[in-house]
This record gives sequence, structure tokens and C-alpha cells, in this order.
Amino acid sequence: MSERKRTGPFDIIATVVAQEPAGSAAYRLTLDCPEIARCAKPPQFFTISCHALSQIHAGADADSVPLDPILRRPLGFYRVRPDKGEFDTIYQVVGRGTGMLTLLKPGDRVRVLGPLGKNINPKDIRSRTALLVGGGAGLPPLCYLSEALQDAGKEIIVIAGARYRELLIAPTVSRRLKRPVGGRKDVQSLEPLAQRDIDCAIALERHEEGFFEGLITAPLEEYLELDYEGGVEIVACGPPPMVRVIAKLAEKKSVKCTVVMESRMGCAIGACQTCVIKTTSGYRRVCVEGPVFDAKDIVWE
Amino acid sequence: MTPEQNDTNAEPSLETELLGMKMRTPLIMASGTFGYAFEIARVADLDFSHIGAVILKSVTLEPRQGNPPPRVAETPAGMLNSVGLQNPGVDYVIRHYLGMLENFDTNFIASVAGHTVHEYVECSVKMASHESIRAVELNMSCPNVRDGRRFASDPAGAAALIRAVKERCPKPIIAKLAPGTEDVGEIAGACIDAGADALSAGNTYVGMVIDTRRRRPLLGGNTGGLSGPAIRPLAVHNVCLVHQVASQKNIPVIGCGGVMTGNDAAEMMLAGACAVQVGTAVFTNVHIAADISAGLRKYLVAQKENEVSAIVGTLQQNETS
Ligand SMILES: Cc1cc2nc3c(=O)[nH]c(=O)nc-3n(C[C@H](O)[C@H](O)[C@H](O)COP(=O)(O)OP(=O)(O)OC[C@H]3O[C@@H](n4cnc5c(N)ncnc54)[C@H](O)[C@@H]3O)c2cc1C
Ligand SMILES: Cc1cc2nc3c(=O)[nH]c(=O)nc-3n(C[C@H](O)[C@H](O)[C@H](O)COP(=O)(O)O)c2cc1C
Ligand code: FES
Repeated sequence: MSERKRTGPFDIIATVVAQEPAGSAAYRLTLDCPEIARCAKPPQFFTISCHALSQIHAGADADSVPLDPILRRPLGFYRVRPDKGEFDTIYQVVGRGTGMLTLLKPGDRVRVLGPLGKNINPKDIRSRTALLVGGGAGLPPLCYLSEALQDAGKEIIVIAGARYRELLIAPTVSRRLKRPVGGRKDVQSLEPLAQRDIDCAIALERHEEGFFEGLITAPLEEYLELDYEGGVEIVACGPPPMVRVIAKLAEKKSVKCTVVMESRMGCAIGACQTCVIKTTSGYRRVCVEGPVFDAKDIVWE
Repeated sequence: MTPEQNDTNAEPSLETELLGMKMRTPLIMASGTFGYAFEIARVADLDFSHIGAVILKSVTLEPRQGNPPPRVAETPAGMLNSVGLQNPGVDYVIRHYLGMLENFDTNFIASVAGHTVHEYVECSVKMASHESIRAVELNMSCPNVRDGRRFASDPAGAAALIRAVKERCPKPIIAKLAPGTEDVGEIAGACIDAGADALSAGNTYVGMVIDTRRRRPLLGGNTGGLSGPAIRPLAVHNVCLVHQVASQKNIPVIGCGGVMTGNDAAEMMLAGACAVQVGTAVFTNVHIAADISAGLRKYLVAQKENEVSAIVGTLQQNETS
């Protein structure tokens, strides 16, 4: 097989290994799909059909094609285990398609397309420290990215935001910050990040013990006040309004900011021109020219 | 093996011929859903042997930036798109994209759109002059640009357009008709009389999705074109209407709208289509042409037909009183 073939993307049938709740109205879905697991890099994504194929794959029979909803949903990678040929995604239930995904059970087979889009190569991050900032559905891919960047020798600080604790996508554990801000030393961290000894500051809009209170920009501003040997830059991933606020703050503080963007997609492979966002050089396709963009190239509406 | 067994086991042939093109299957990837082929060809193991032809994304004389996003809204069993013919212009497409087509083993058809007859003519001539292009489809029915449907809603306008393109274009031309017009038969007749070599029936239907919270249309372009299985029964009926006219003049009809399976393709062909376009379905599976081909073969086996062309237009209408 040629190099090109091995890095996909693949339009292929994956098998559900497990599915379990991850926070409120969010699920962690584990898929067996060696082709994609072998080459998925953060924060690339894949698309998934909302329908399991019928158990006896009937080839071209009507029951094996998805009629409604027809489009596949774009989702990010949370954990990738190339050796086992598996990967995990965490998705929030926000509508009909993600609602249907909750019905998938171990053994079900489902059509996926991936890995898609550009990844963030550790050498794209010039600074020694990366502040990975995000919330909601952006957190799982940020966790995966934090691991890849840490493995490449970067200092990582994750700043996560949510309205209330139950919306966080992973269990929290108490931990000491290596680089304390706001007079706080002991705070809650997301468990996978704590395991990796990655600093994590979580901002909740509702007051809760062990968390920063307010919007995500509160801890972010404090972190931007600190000195970083080797420089610092931001990667933002999450709901569009949050990403926009982070990008604006980065611009004000003259800190480089990379954003991971979302948009509604048709093909997800660069052919249909539906997923565009406005940039300083015209409309750009999130599915192939993104989802990673330099924040200063985005024309924020 | 007894002769009888041999008969039923014979693999039915999907080969067809259209406008001088030899096609391994009657399946044609629809314009706008398969890009300029190289984008989708990046997918590992994409096999062109189930694809009879690809119609490239519509090009215009000048680059078009297209409509503001969002450009896609999902609907029951379908979707609206409002791309607005974004494309880098005919010269760019010829210089940068068409050269790649020779790497893919299938037939390629250009699709051309424009505001004026002049634009269609210039664009068609440029695209048709490229050796990889076997025919030109005139997109006379794009709902996403102002006056995009003008040419397909007025028989005289349609005829004038076809005549002008036919006069200069060195390759066969296909008129892509707008669906849902009462007088589609009349327009089809006008296109044929003006020299169209084939007809595509049809395109997307105009629709709107409203974001009730914001009290605004969801799509940046307000309205969009409805495609996918939601439109299939409308599209099949549309093919019947066009076939009634085209069959009298021996002009091939290409069915288009909502085809997802072999059985769907068979419906189109029974209604009179000698080839079938596949658009939105490719978003569910880029290898869908392989599945549709397999389904079509299965249908032919069940119907004891050896060749796919044998079923074209064989629909028997029920007696009504
Ligand atoms: C690159 C990328 C990565 C993503 N990663 C994740 C992830 O890891 N976890 C997660 O929970 N969510 C993620 N999302 C968002 C996720 O795709 C949407 O929440 C999901 O498509 C909603 O589908 P639905 O049917 O439940 O919602 P509905 O609103 O019913 O969906 C209707 C249509 O709109 C589209 N749509 C709605 N919201 C979005 C959105 N935010 N982004 C893109 N399309 C949308 C749907 O795909 C569908 O076509 C990602 C989106 C993108 C573009
Ligand atoms: C995203 C998208 C873009 C399209 N762009 C074009 C186009 O550029 N030119 C054209 O003639 N038709 C275009 N179409 C229409 C399709 O070619 C096809 O006629 C229509 O989608 C109905 O077929 P389907 O239900 O199989 O998709 C587009 C359709 C979609 C979904
Ligand atoms: S979704 Fe089709 S080009 Fe991006």
C-alpha cells in the first residue's frame, strides 16, 4: 500500500466497542476502526452516520442506506489507540443526530469517514508553552491535542470552561497547579489531564468549590499575565462564541492564537463547498482547509 | 452446469452508451456533489469502475465567491444547499484541475452556468475544448443564484441558449432542466428542437428552513435547493414527463434526484432514464456507486434481464378510468 493510502481518509465501516455516559448529556463512544486509528492526529475529525447498518449487511438494499437524518455528523477524536485499532470520541447530545447516536451499542456497525482536516503539528507551535483553551464539545479534542503536544516536549496548560460542573466531559480530580494563578493552588482538574501532570484551570459560570468562577476569559487573562520562558501561544477549540471571545482576547494581548472552527458540512472531504467560513482571503472550507486556522485570518461575524 | 443454471447465474451487464461515451455503469456522479473529482479521489480505495461518468462542479466564466454561510441545512430525508455556484472560474479550473482527470478511469462531463447566453457559450467552448471532457451539461436550473432558473422556465429562452451553445460547442450538450415546472414537457421539447443532445431531469427544488429562535432563514442565502431521497418521487415523476417528449425524438434522458440504492436507480430507468445521476447519496458514502451497481445487478437478476439498457422506459402505467 502506498503512503497516501495509509493516511486515508477512509470511508469505511467501524464497529462499536463501547458506549457510556460522559457527563450530562454527553457520551463516550469507542469504535474499532484500525485504518483511522492508525493515522488520526489531533485535532482532526471524522464523520459518522447516525444509523447502525443492519446486522446482515444487505449490500445495496434499502435498509442499509441512511435516509433520515441523511448527513453524517462531524466529531473529534478524544483517545486514539493505534495498537488496538480503536479510538474514542466524546459527543454532546444537542439534536436529533447525536440523539440517535446514543442508541448505538457494542457490536453495531456504522459508516465513518476520516481522519479529516488538518492537524496541529507540534512544530507548528513555535512557543514552548501552549495554552489550550476551550469548552463543551471542544474539550475532548483538546485533551488529545494536549497529549500529543506534551509528548513532543511542549509545556501545556489547559483552560476549560463550562456553565456548570455536570457539563464537563470527564471526571474531575483535585490537584495542585504547577503554575498557580489568582491565588489558587488546589483546584479541580480533568482526570485525563491530571494523569499526565498537565495543569488545568476550569472556569464555571456557577460558583462551585475548587473551580474558577466566571467566564473562561477570567483564568485565561491571569495566565497571560505570567512570564513564559520560550514564549506562549493559544489554541482555542469549543463553541463558536467562546472561540471568538478567546481570539479577541489573544489579539488584544498580541498573543498568537490558533482556532479550531466548526461548521455545517455536506461531504466533509472538500468537494461540495458547503462548510465555508469567511476569512481574510475569502471563503475557506473548514473540512479540508481547516478546521485549524490562524485566528487573525478569520473574519468574525 | 445446465443451460438453465447458466442463464440465471450470468452476471447482468450494466454497460451502457451515452452520447458516444462507453460507460461501465449507467451511474453518473451529479454536478456539485463530486467536486472536480480529485477532492473525493483522495479517499483511500475509491474505485471509479462503478462510475459511468462524473459531471464536474458547475463553472462560470468569472470566479464566483458564492453565498454566505451556512450553506447547508438538513431536512427530513434530504438537505438544502445554498452554495451559490462558488467556483474559481473556467480558466482556473482548466489550468489547475482538468489535467488531473486523466488519472481517473471514467468519463468526465463539464457543467456550465452563467447569467447570459454569451457566458454559457464562452464557458462551454473552453471546457469542451479540453481532451478530458466528453460532453457539456448546461446548468439551466440553479436555484441558488439570481435568475438561475430563467433559462429553464421559458421555452424560447431555453431554445435560444441551446442553439447558441450548439453552434460553437465541439462536444455533445446536455440540458439540465429545472424540475417542478408545470410545463417541463414543453421546455424539454424546445431544448430538443434547438439541438440538445440529451436532457437531464432534473435539479434541486427550492426550499427554506427557518431558525425559529432567531426568526430568520437558517441558510445564509435564505433559500436553498432541496436534494436527497426527500425529492425522489417528484424526480421520478419528472423523468416520466420528460421521457414522454424525449422518446418521440429519440433523445436520451438522464434521471436525477434522490437516488440512493439500486432499486432507486431502477425506478428512474423504468421511468425512461438511460442513465442516472447520484448526488447527495455520495455524502453518506463516497463508495456508494459500488453499492448502487450491486443493487442494480441484483434487480436485473431478479427480473431475468441480461442488460440494464433493456429496462429503460419499460414502465407500464396502470389503467385508470
Ligand atoms: C470539525 C468538528 C468537530 C466536532 N467535534 C465534536 C466533538 O468532538 N464532540 C461533539 O459533541 N461535537 C463535535 N462537533 C459538533 C457536532 O458535529 C454537532 O454537535 C452535531 O453535528 C450536531 O448534530 P445533531 O443532529 O445532534 O444536531 P442538529 O442541530 O439536529 O443537526 C442538524 C444539522 O446541523 C449540523 N450541525 C449542528 N450543529 C453543528 C455544529 N456545532 N457543528 C457542525 N455541524 C453542526 C448537523 O451535523 C446536522 O447536519 C464537531 C463539529 C465539527 C465541525
Ligand atoms: C451541495 C450541492 C451542490 C450542487 N451544485 C450543483 C452545481 O454546481 N451544478 C448543478 O447543476 N447542480 C448542482 N447540484 C444539484 C445536483 O447536481 C443534483 O441535481 C441534485 O442534488 C439532485 O440530486 P440528488 O438528490 O441525487 O442529490 C448540487 C447539489 C448539492 C447537494
Ligand atoms: S463539507 Fe463539502 S467541502 Fe467541506
